Amino acid sequence: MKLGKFIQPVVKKFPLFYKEGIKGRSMQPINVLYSYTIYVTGYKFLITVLTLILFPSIKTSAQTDWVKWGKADYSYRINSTSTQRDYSIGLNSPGRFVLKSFANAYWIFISDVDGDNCSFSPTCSNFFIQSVEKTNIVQGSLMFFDRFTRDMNFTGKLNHYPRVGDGHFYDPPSLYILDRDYINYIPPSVVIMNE
Amino acid sequence: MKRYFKYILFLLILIPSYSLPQDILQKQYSYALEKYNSEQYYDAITEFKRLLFFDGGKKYVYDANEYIGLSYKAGAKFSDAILYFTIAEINAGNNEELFNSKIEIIRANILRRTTARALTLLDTLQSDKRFISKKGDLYYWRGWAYIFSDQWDKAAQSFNMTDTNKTMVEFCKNVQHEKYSVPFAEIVSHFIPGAGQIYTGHYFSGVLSLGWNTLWGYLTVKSFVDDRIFDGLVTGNLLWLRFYNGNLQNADKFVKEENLKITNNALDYLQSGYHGLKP
Amino acid sequence: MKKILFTLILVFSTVIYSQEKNQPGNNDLFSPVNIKKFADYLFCQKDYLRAADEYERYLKSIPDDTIEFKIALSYSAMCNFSEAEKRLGTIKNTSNFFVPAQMLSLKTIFQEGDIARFRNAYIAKDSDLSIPKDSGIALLYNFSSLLTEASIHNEDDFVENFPYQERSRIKYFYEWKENPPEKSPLKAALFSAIIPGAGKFYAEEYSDGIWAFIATLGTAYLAYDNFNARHYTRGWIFSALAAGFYAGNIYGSASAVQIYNTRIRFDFVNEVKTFLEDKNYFLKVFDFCK
Repeated sequence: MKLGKFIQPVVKKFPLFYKEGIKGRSMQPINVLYSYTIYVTGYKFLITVLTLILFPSIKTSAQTDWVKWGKADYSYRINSTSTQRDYSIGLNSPGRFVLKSFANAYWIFISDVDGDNCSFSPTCSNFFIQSVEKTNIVQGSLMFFDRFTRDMNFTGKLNHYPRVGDGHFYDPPSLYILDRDYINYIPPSVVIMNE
Repeated sequence: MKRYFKYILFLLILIPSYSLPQDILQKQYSYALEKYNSEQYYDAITEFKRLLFFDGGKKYVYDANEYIGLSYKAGAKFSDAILYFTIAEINAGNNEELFNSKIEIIRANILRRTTARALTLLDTLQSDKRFISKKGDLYYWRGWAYIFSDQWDKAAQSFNMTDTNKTMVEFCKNVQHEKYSVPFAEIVSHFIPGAGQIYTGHYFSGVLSLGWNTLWGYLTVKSFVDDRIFDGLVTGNLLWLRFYNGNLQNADKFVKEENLKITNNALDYLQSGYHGLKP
Repeated sequence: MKKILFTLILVFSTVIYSQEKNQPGNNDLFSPVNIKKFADYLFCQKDYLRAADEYERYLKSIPDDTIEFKIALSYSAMCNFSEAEKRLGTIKNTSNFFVPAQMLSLKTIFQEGDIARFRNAYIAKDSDLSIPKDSGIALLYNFSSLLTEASIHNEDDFVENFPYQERSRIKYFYEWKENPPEKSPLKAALFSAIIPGAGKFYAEEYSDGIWAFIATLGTAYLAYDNFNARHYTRGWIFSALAAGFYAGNIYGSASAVQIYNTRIRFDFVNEVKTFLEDKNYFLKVFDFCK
């Protein structure tokens, strides 16, 4: 396969020629910078150290003021990192109604009281619901079994998936629907905020 | 008259060369200050930077940097603020200015919740003999540093060391008193599954937890009694332990969530209802 | 005599003072000359937005194409390429900066990531200005064919367009484009169908591969064991689980390869980007802050 066939969407998808961050997600700028640098050379340790050394010099180069800003509405509050489940049933399709009813029952009676056993975000049950919604019950189930297998792999997740703010590994179903255009690759060194 | 001629001459040289640009700089300072006072912080920084650029005599180097820092702080850009407060600190002309700039650095650290840094700086100031008369101020800001890091008991102790902030002492003590105890919730949950959740008012979750643990516990014990060791191990490990662990996790989670609500309510009050000096 | 001396000293002292570095020339911080001085300072401090604003203020009183160019450079440095491109478009063709502005404008289009638009714009500019074939922008144009769909065909011709010292890197990029080291999702699925987890090994997801193997064979064994012990219900449950893990592992291997392919592309694009930034997109560096 020729590079040209995919390089165009890639260039559009990964905004590497301009530093904006990955679409639809806000990231900590340091991490974007950091991961880009790392992924260029692969000398992870050296580059990590170098980036951390370089960081203060980048920070002081007035980047804060490259966009006009005003008085901030700063709140003293401490932000909560815990995520809330979406228990809404939604009546747009009978399939979803049935699936979501089961999921809600599972969440309320089992998942909410048996502790935090899934290290992924979205959780396995949520992944299943989203997968079925994005594809169909058969493909969604295959995606779920694959996810379940990857979840059992308790040693291989580190340095493999990016993290969300609360420390869970970010692993959205969009990566697994076998459609290249939906694969939005995020390096593991990135921390995704406001997922 | 002739004797004073050279002094007059000297004065005459000085007057035009200094007074004229100083007037302009003074005007620029007022202009920048006007921007700052009208909350146009980005523009205020531009004007203070202009003042600094043309201020060859460095007359305004402290004030302008201090105001740039304050402007960044108003925009919640605390790291930038600290950078400029530090420049102000380096250029402080007297102890008063030095103290003020250091306190500004501490306040910005409190706001961006780098509490350890704020406390270290407070320690340094406290051991500095030049600021011996400022002990009350230092304890006051120490109290705020603890408030922002959610340590209300230590905050109360610090405010107690100042002579004038007894209401703050009471307030912090009340917040601490209102909070749920993490160790208590964890300990009771170890003995009665679900008790920690019930303690924080999550009754449904608590009762459910107790139910599951009773069921799986019963089945596990029954398996062992019936000599079905494998079933007992599987039920015990995969089910009972899972829900028992979930009960401990939930107890911890709910206490933290409820405590966060209490903290945030207190912080909301301090931000809008408290009229004393704030970070 | 004394009066003359006084007057002289007065005048002289004011003049000396005003010529000191950074001092307001005509006693007004907002005179064009002082605005420019301040803007230059901000520009060199990388405080680009403020610099651009100050330059704009200066332009209101004195037209100056260097300043217009520097405004565009400021926006370009802040990665606001559309604004930079707009500013560069306003530089007149009588200006000394016209040609550099046109080149920089092409570069900003490239940096925006729209390679097709860049190539079209280059062809249009080339017919207007007849761009020399060895100029930096011509090199960037040649380089950009690495980022298009069409095959380049002749490797030697392509590589020889570039300076000698760059050729080994260019050759590497060329080979990547023509034969990207991608893996086949179909192969991965096939491997996993034969041995559960093998496709994951092929996708270099070794630990996931091991777990896929354990999950599939483990549940299959439990199904077999339960059927043997005549526990049919459990037997069927484990059979269903084994089938699920087996099919899921085939599916997952294919998707793992797709992610692998995306990742190596991501790395390649990063390499290209770093290379280009390192070479300043083959263009001359305008350093106004020396």
